[in-house]
This record gives sequence, structure tokens and C-alpha cells, in this order.
Amino acid sequence: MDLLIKFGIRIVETMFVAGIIGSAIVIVWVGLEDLRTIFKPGEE
Amino acid sequence: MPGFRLLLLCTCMATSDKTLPESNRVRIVVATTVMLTFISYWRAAAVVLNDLGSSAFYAAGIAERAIGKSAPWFILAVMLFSFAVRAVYVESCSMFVRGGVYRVVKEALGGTLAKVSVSALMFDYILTGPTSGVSAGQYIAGLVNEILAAADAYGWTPSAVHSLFQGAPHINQNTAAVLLAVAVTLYYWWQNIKGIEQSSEKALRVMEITTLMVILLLGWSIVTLLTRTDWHFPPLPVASNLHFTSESLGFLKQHPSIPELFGVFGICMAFGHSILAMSGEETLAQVYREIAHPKLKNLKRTALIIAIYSFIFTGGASLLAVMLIPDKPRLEVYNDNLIAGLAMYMVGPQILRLAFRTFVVVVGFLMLSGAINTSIVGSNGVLNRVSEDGVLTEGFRKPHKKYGTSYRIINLIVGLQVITIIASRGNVYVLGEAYAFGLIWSFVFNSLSMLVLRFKYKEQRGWKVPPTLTIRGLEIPVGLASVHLVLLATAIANLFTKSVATIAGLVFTITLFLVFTASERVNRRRFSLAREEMREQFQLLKEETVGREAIDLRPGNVLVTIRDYHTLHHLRWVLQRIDTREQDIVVMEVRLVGAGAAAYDLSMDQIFSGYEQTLFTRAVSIAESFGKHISLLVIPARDVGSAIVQTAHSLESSIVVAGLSSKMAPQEQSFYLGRAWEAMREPKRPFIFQVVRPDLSVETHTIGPHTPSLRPEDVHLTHRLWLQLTRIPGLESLHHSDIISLALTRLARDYTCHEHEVIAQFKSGKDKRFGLPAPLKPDEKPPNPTANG
Repeated sequence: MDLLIKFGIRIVETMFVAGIIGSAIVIVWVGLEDLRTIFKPGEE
Repeated sequence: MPGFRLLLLCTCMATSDKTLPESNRVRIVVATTVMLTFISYWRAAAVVLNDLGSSAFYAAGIAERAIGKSAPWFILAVMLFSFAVRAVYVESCSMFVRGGVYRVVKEALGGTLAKVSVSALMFDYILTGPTSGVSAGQYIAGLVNEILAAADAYGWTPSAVHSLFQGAPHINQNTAAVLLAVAVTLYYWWQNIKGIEQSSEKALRVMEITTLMVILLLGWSIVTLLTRTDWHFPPLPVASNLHFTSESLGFLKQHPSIPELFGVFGICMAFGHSILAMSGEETLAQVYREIAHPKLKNLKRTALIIAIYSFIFTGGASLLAVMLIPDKPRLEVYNDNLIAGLAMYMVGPQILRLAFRTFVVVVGFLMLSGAINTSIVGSNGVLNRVSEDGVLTEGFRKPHKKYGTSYRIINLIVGLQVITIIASRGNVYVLGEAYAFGLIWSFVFNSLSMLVLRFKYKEQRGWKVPPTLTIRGLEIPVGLASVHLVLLATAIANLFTKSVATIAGLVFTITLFLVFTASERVNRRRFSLAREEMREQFQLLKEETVGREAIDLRPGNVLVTIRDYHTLHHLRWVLQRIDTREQDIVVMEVRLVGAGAAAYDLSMDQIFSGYEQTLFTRAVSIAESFGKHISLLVIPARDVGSAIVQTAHSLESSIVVAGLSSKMAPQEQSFYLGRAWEAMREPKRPFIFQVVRPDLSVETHTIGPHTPSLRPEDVHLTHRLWLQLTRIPGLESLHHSDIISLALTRLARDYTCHEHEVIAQFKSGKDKRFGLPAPLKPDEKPPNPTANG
């Protein structure tokens, strides 16, 4: 049972770390893209 | 031709037991697009921030109690991460203009999971109100106690009162918070029953006041930091600095070493305990439909404003609270009203700090009570939508007899919220922890659905969450998957660490899901019968937007608005007077949809329900009794006034006729329509608005610019002036209109230069002549029109 809990926790940890790294890229990417595009005058 | 139409109407009413050929049924045009008034991205951001920003008042206190002193770093991390979550919402909105969790999940994962996600969302909505209400109560009760303590310290408390309380008089904060939360919830219950809409104007005003508070808070805090030396940063967000209580370990309390043992899992748990700081994201999806062109660009602007504002406000306030308020009072006195505590630990005289705290409490009350309203409006919208889909009996959606709102759903929501407030006994921590359950799971479903839709619908969307890798033609949505992974991992951690939230959330979600599923099955047969019956009587013509050609109307028609089938006297009045061979009559019902409902796609069956069937059957039978033809129309809208003026414009109606409102006098009804008309974009044409009272007396107003009805004495004065002026050589060709034109030009000039004087003159015009000179005598010389600039 303990082994199962540990395995489950490791999976959650991996998901969390991978997700955080990817999300950091999303934030930087979207932030830069927004700064370049959304305040430029003109239609979409 | 009208006689032929009449014959068709009579036939269809007489033979309702038999399916008629399509051409013989009563044609009703059903607009499927909700009529909205569009708002700027600033207003959209204000609406979302009213909901999102309210969590700044309680999220940090709850997080610190659960994970310890490093909580502000996690709140800041959540606020940063919320920018990524917002990107998912932007993508979903670029795919479905009427986005929202239900729409997205139903499209991607089907009806069953859509019902589960809506149940989780309902849990979130139901708990937002009580959490915000109790938090507002805590802020107010805390302020009252602070003032009482200060008064006692200065010896202003009577000795009898002092001895009665065995010290400074005080009120029980939790009891006061419960009472206040119940009172505010009941106030908004009544407002929602009456159908008063959320206004972006109000949201903008609240955000202006909040911004002033945030600037003062940050500015004063910086001065305090520069002045004082006893402040410190919170401990770094590492596993060894996390201090979980047995309460915040939840089901893991048997294994208290797990967070430290696994490190990252502890951080994930702490992140989960701080996630409620980003409540209110769903409001972004709901407000998208109302954002003005260019929609996507404006949505991104809205998202960016929200991100920066909430990072500074929610993140900054929680960080400063830990830096400036000493541990003991922060945890024992100000845990439930942290920003108020921050105000009390600034540098400066006590009276100034107390005044600022009062300002914080007023702003907090405005935002938090606004969040209660948002929760009622949001859950009403979602339940209406689910009910329209046939999963709740139609009885739930029955309109209020007087106000036309879905009062049964509102009663149910507010009933649940009041029970929750009382059960919480004023404990914001329990409410906040439980509330995060609905929040995180609705995010999980939304992001998972968007992920599925990347593979299900590969066509071009307005925007995609970056980055996306393409390997051998296969698109891998790295960014979207990353956001989903964080949300899923956090939701799983929460499931084990928030025992109260998990139990309450699961019980609520499963119960609501079972209720939805069971009633959907019961209703399915009833709905199919009702739909069949409706198909026999009415031919529903779906139109994205309504135009004159779609209903086959001539210009200058009469638009009659109806709502209650008990009060159709104004329709009778119109039918008595109008010769339909010369002028068409169109009867319109404005189907009110809530903020949430506007976010979802509306099908014809949802708009044209059993109630509309009864309403239009009555309208048609009245028309039959007069032997006249009427056209029928249903318009879904958020605001009745806007819907009426927009429809009158689209149909080129010359007259709009309404019954007497139960809420407004005829002048107010006219003023309300006038304002909606003014808000409409050019080109637009004026129309006559008539209100018919039950005794058939009529009040007539013109909506839009029109020739004013001049009183005889004004006409006389104009004529006298004209007589005098035309005697002057060179002015023989002067017209009466030239005199009016000059008078108005002079008034406009006076108003620009001496605004207050002109207003005062209008206000003080006792004889309503506004101090004008008496009419000129025949031999009197007219004044010099160019003099007295």
C-alpha cells in the first residue's frame, strides 16, 4: 500500500514539475506575444 | 392576403389535435443570438476583476493558516500561473464565442461529463457567495471591534458597558459575519428576483475606488518599509518552510511527513491551498460575448489587465501583510481580514490608520458583496442553461409573475447559500478551502476539454495557447498540456489534503449530477411530447439576427411587446385601432437570459419553451378574435430596453406599444428606452413609444430626437419676434425657424460658457418660462440678437 502511495505521489510530482516548466514557457511566450501585438493599433 | 393569413391562424388553433402541414402552422421567428450591448476591454476587465479581485481580501489569510508563513510566495505563484490559465480561456473563447465550461466540455467530452463539470462549477458558484459574504462580515465586525477598543482605550466607553464586557466592548466577529452575510445575500436575492442586471458601469466605478485603495496601500506600505526596520520577507517557498496543520493535511494527517519527504509534493499541496486566489476566471468566458470589436484582441487586453492588476493587488497585499504585520496579531486577530490588519500596521497616527482601515472595509464590502451578486447571477445562468437543455423540469424556469425572472432557481441558489453561511458559523477558512474544490475541478475539465478539442477539431482557431510542436504532421499542444498537468496535479493533491472540501464537494457534485441525470430521464418523454405538440401549432423559424424581410413586414409597422399572458390588454388596444391591411403588427417577447446563459449557445427549443407556447397561443387567439393577422417574434436578451430599441430599429417599426410595467411608471419606461436608444450605434431612427394602462388610457412618448411640442405662449413669442424682425430692412425673408435656431445657438453658447447659471435658471424657472422676457408688444423694438455675448 505504501509503495502504491509513493508511486502515486511520484506521478503527481512529475506531472506538477513538467506542468510548471511548460506553464512558465506559456507565460513568457504569451506575455511577449501580447506586448508585441495587442497594443498595436489596427483590426485583428 | 390578410384574410388568408387569418384563415390559417384560425385553422391551426382549431385543429391542434392533428399535425398540420408546415405552411398551415403559426410562424414564429426565433432569434438565436442574444441581444447585447458591447463593452470596452476596460469595462470587461472591471467586471472580471470585481469577481477575481475579491479573493484578495481572504485568500492570503486562508493560505497562511493552511501552509504557514511562506504562503505569499504561493499566492504570487498562483497569480502568475493564472495568466497561463487565462490563455486557455482565451483559446476556448476564440473557438466558441459563447464559451464557458459547459459549452466547451459538452463539445469535447459529451453530455455526462458536461453535467459533472457543471455540478463542480455550481459548487464553486454556490460557495463564492457565502465565502465573500462572511469575509465582508469579518472585515466589518473587525473594524467595529477596533473602533470600540480604541474608544475604550481613550476612556470614552461608559463604565457600566466596560464592566459588562469585562474590558473593551466587542461583538462576536463570527456571529456578526454570519448575520451580515445573510443580510447581504438576501438583499441580492431580492435584486435578482426583481431582475436588476449587473452593470459594467458599476463594476468600473468599484474598480476605480479599489484602484485608489491599492495605490494608497502600496504607497503607504513602501513608506512604512522605508521607515521601519523590523520587517522581513516571508520564508522561501521550499518544503522545509511549509508548516501544514492536521486540518490542511486532510486525509494525509496519518502521514504528516509526506510533504517534507517528497518535497515537490509538499509544494504542490501548498499550491493547491493557495489556488482559490484565482477564482473568477469563468467570468472572463462569460463576459467575452459582450466585448466590443476587435473581440479577440480586446479579450487579450482584458486578460493582460486582469493579470497585472491581480498580481499586484492579490499577490502584493498578501506579501506586504506578512512583511508588516507581526506574526501574533496577523494569525490571531487579522487572519480573516488581512488587508484591514495591514492598514493598522502602517506608519502614521492611529486616527489616520483607522480612517484608512475604514476605507479598506468599505472597498472590501463593495467588492465582496458584488461577488455575492455575481455568484447568484452566474449560478442562475448556469442552472437556467441546464434547465433549458431539459435536465431540470421546466417548473424551475417558470418566470416570476411580476418580474419575469426565473425566481425558483434564484430561490434554490440563495436557499443553499444561506444554509451554507449558517453552517459555516462565520468560518472563512472552511468556506474558502471547500470553495477551491469546485474551482480547481472546473478548470481541470475546461483545460482537458480544450486539449481534446485540439485533436478533435483540427481546423484553424482564432488563437492557440503556445507553444505547439509539430512532429511528422502531428500537432503536440505543449503549452495547453502543461497548464492541464499543473491543474490536474493540484486537483489530485487537493483531493487528499482538503478533506472537508473533498467530502462536501463530492457529495454536492454527485447529488447534483444525480438530480440532473434523473430529472433529465423523467423529462425526456415529457419534453418530446411537449415539443411534438409545439411543432403541431407553431413553425419556428430560426434567425441568427432579426430583420424586417425575415418576418415579411412592411416599414412603419407596430411592435407590441408582451411578457405576461395575463396582461395582454395593450395587444387588444392595438388590434382595435390598427388596420392590418395598411400597417403590420409584430408581437415580440423578450426572453431574459442571465449573464451565464448569454455565454452559451441557445437553441430554438431552449428559447421557445412551454411558457412561450402559452403566451403566443393567447396572443394568437386574441388576434383571431379581432380577425387580424399578427407576426410573432422571440428575442433572447440580457437587457429588455436594448432588445426593444434594437428590434424596433431592425424592423423599421414606427410605433412600439407596451403594457404598464410592474416596476416602472410610463415616464420611467420611456426614459429607460430612451437611454437604450441613445446607447445604440448610428444610424438609428426615432419611434413613438406608447404605454397602455390596464384601464386603456395611453401615454405617448417619442424615443430619439423629435420636434418638441411647443406651448402656445412660446409659439406666440416666436411669432411676435418674427413680426418685429421682419420689419427691419434686409430681414424680410426671415423664417420662424431662424428665430428658434438663433435662440438655441445662443443657449448652447451660454451653456458652454456659463453652465451653472443656465442650469440654475432651468431649475429655478418657477413659471416654467425660465426668466424670459414677456412677449413683445407690437411697437416694441426687438433686442439685438448679437449683443450680450
